[in-house]
Formats: sequence, structure tokens, C-alpha cells
Amino acid sequence: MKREEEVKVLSRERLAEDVFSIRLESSIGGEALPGQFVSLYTRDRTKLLPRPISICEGKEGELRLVFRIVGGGTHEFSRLMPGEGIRIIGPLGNGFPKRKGKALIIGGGIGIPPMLFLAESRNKEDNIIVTGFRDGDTFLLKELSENGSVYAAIENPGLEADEDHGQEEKFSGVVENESGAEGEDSGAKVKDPVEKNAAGSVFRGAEFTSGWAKGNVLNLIEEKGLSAKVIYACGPTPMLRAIKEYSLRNGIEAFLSLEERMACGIGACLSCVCNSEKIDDHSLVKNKRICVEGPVFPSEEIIL
Amino acid sequence: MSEKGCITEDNLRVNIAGVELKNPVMTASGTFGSGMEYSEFTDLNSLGAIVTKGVALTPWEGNKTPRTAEVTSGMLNAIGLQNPGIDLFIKRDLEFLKAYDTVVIVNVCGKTVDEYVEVVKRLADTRADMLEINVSCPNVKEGAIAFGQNKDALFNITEKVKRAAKQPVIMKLSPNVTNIAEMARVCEAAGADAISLINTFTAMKIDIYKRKFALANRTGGLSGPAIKPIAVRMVYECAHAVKIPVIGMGGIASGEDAIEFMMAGARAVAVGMMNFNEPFITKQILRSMLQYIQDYNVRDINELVGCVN
Repeated sequence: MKREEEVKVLSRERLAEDVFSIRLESSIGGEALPGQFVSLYTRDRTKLLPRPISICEGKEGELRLVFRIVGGGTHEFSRLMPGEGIRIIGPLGNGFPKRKGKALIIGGGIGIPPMLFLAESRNKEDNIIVTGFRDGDTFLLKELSENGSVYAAIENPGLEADEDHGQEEKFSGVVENESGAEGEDSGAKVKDPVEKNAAGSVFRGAEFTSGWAKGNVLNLIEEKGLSAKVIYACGPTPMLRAIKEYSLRNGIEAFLSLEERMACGIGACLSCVCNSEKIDDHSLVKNKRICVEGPVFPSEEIIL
Repeated sequence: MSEKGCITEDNLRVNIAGVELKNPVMTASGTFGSGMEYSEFTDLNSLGAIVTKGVALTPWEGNKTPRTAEVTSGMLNAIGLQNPGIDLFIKRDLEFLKAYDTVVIVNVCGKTVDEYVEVVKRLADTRADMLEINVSCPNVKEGAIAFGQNKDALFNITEKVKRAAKQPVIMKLSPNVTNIAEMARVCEAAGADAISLINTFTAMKIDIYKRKFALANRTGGLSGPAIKPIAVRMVYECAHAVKIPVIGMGGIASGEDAIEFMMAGARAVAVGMMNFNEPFITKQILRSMLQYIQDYNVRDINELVGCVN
């Protein structure tokens, strides 16, 4: 049952350049399903609309949210300290439908956090988790690796990907150190702000992956020949569009989590619609509410 | 002084065009659906009235997304009057509202006068207690604000709707005009039972990082606390231009705001955008209005209507 709560922040953590994690003490945590979200309110009285944020982890008495700072509201949330309060509404939206067997769990950028919740709710042996990042400033790879096998597609890793990359291999690359001196190899530079980690890898958390590739998630899936009985995906619209097309082409059932600007967040205002293939029962037009009929939709039902 | 203890919710009762409302607080069209979603939070029975989302003769798709954008102390919307059409609305939404003890005001929209008239006729023997005629939505290419910005068109549609309507007719005015009091007079002359104002201001937001309009429709209607001072001024002007009751709205966020509108001349008020900020806002508003009349020994809320002039 959705409700409004004033909740306490339990902890905060910076995961990447502008990506933050907060844990909230909330009864919503125990009721939330993977795929659902919560609305967060700022204390700033000039910013009146709720900010919808996907649930990254939910358990009895606790909600974890991982979000990117994209404006004044999310910036305010990133500044909350343990013990401070925040007003939220949730759980909102529908969840990912349960399916048995192997799943490709695909998260692009800030679409990754809700996929952790999903992975945790399934048998880890059945989870092939594919993450996509713009650069080496990654997050959540360690936790994801505890819930399935993890692959990472990095658009700009700072060097050309070799044929086979695995956890055991050393990555060759050049890191510009403080004195500006360059090391061996190609002369390609690893992008800031990524630190070269202990394993000598070119992106944070590479040691938790079963493989990675330069490019996008679909490049990686095809390159590694990854396949499953069902696909779950969340991320930028171009990524979802490509995955929808891939799933239709290969006859694989796929569930996509969408997002759109919201106002009420509970289905009353009709701001956050997506286009549907067929006329929707509630609206009687080819629009569905992402906050109620979604955010998760079977890929064949919606037009991206 | 001993009379103070007798002031209760009953002292909030108001009457608009012959319809009794238990209190002056309504929810604004477009911000509350038909109450189904908000009923999980706030008690619909506690409301003076629910004004439902604009309904047309047939289902309308509305505008492309993004349909909303936040601005300082407010928001822009360009929903574009998406609605399921009068048939499903009567069968589902009005059926749902039968279970609640509140006044139901159905907001009507259309592209042509004939469409408005047909919807109004279909609503004749339904749960609808009053009708609010949308001649002010700025987000559609035909109908709505096209009527509200033109005196002759406004007179004509008011007259035709009034002739066809069984329930009392409220004309919802647009602030996107040079002289809103003049529009109020036009509606009164054409036979409207009441007026409600203001609808949203046509406005725009540009995202300077994406270098795009924030709304797919480019412009949208501005609502929220940002518009309240202009809304209060317009309510004042209209209340002094006509004798028919004025329902005031525009950025109401508290009981104090509601009373301010009443003192400017509104007999009842509507709360819109702030429902998105706090689903229990109407409950909070009623609570603080009751406290005001208790604290200042106002035996009848109607004493406050237009008391500042």
C-alpha cells in the first residue's frame, strides 16, 4: 500500500563522480518490489515537485536509493547526513514480473541501481548482469557480482579493448601520472577521474567482472554471445530501443523500465505517459502512465 | 468570548449557485484525476468538492512528452487535455464518485461549441452536481482558451452551454487576457451561474544545457505559488465586476492562502498544483482554516468573503 512517510537517513556514500547512495529507515523497504520507485521531496520550498528515484535495495525497515545528481533537488539529497529526515511517498509503480530461469539483467548508467534489487530477488546462478557505462567511473559492480555474473560495456574506457578480457588478465594501458610522464604501450590515456585500482585495471571494479568490452551493452552481448530466457532492462531510451529490437529479433521475452518527467507520481496528472502499441484500457488512447501502468512494460507493448 | 467554543467544521459551509458545500475547499481540475488515485491518501468525504479532469466527447490523446517541467515555486504543464471521453468517464469515474459525500463538479472541454453542448447534455442525469466549462486551457490548438480569449466566442459558448445544462454552470476563466473582469461580465451577461479563476498562465522554460525547450509543446501553463499574487488580484477584480459567485484558485498552499482568496472575494477556493507536493494538503488547509475561524471568532466563513475592499 503506498504511503507518505517522513524517514530518517541511515547512511550516505559517494559511489562515483556524481552518483550517491543513501539508506533510509523506512517501512516501504519491506514492501517494495524490484522495479518500483519512491518519490522524494526536497525541503526547498521553491522546488515543489517530487523526484522519482528507483529503489536500489529494499528490505524490512530499510530502503536504499542510488541516484545521480542532475539538478538542485538531487543535489540536496546528496547532502543529507545520517539522522536527518526526508519526506517520501512509496512504493510506486509496478515491479518486474517474476520469471524462472536465466535472465539477462541489463542496466545502463543510472538505470543500473534498480537492477541490483532485481538480481538480489533471483537465484544468482540465473543472473547474467550486463552493465553499461559512459566511462570508467563505474559503481555497484562489486555488489552486482555477489548476485550474478557481471559484464561491463564501457563506451570510453580510454584504450582499445583487446580480444579477450577477463578478470585474470592484466590490462595494458597508460596512466598519466602527476609528473605528466607516460608509461608503456599505445599512448592512450585512461580518462580522469578513474583511479587505476590495485589489480591494475582500467575501470573501477573491473576485477568483479567476468568480462568487459568497449562500446555499448548490445555490442558486449553479441561479442560475448550472452543469451537468456528473459531480458530485463533499464537505462537510456536509445539503449532500450536497441534491446527491444534485439529481443523481438531473437524471440526473447523482454521487460523494459521506462522513465519520463513526472508531477504527481501517483497516476492522477497524466504527465508521465509513454506511447503504447494498443489502446490502453484506462486512458482509451495509446498512452500508458509510467508511474502506474509502469515503469516496467513488456517490450512489445510500448513504442520507444 | 464564550461563543468561541462553538465554532466547528459546520461553520465552514458555503453555497455556490444553490449547491451546498460542506466547506469552501475544492480540488482543481487536472490535478486530482477523478479522485481515485488520491483516495488512497486523503479522505474524499472531507472535501467541499472535487473538480474532475476535463472530459470531452471522445477520447483525446493529449500532447507529446515531456508534458511537465518544474520552475521556481511552480510548474509548467502541457498535458493537452488527455481524457478517456465522456462514455467511460460516466461509467467509471462518476460511478466511483457515487460512494463519496462530496460535491462533484465535472470539468468539460471540447473543440467546438457543439461538442461542449453534447457533453453537457450527457451529464444531465448523472452524479455531477455542477459543471465547470473549460474555456481557458492554453495547451490545445482548438477550443478551450480560444473561447476564453474572445468576448463574443465566450458569450456564445456560455449561453449555449447554459441552455443545454441541467446543473449549474461555472465558467473557468483564463488569465491570459488583457481584462479578466471584462470576461467575467461577459459570462454573467450570458447566464453563467458562477465563474472560477484563474486557469494557468501561458509560460515557457528552456533547458540551457540541452539547449531545448523543457516541454515538447514549447509552452505550457504555469501554476503554483508563483502565480498566487496575480490570481488574488484577478479574483478581486472579478468579484467586484459581477454578482455571481467567484471560485478562486492559483497557488493555494495553505489555509491562510485560502482565506486570502476569500477575503479578495472568492466564495470557495480550489487547490491544484500543491496536491503534487503534499497529497494531504487539502486536509492541512481545512485544519488551518478551522483554526483561523476559531481563533478570530468567525461564526460563519461567509463573513470573510470580500471583506477586504
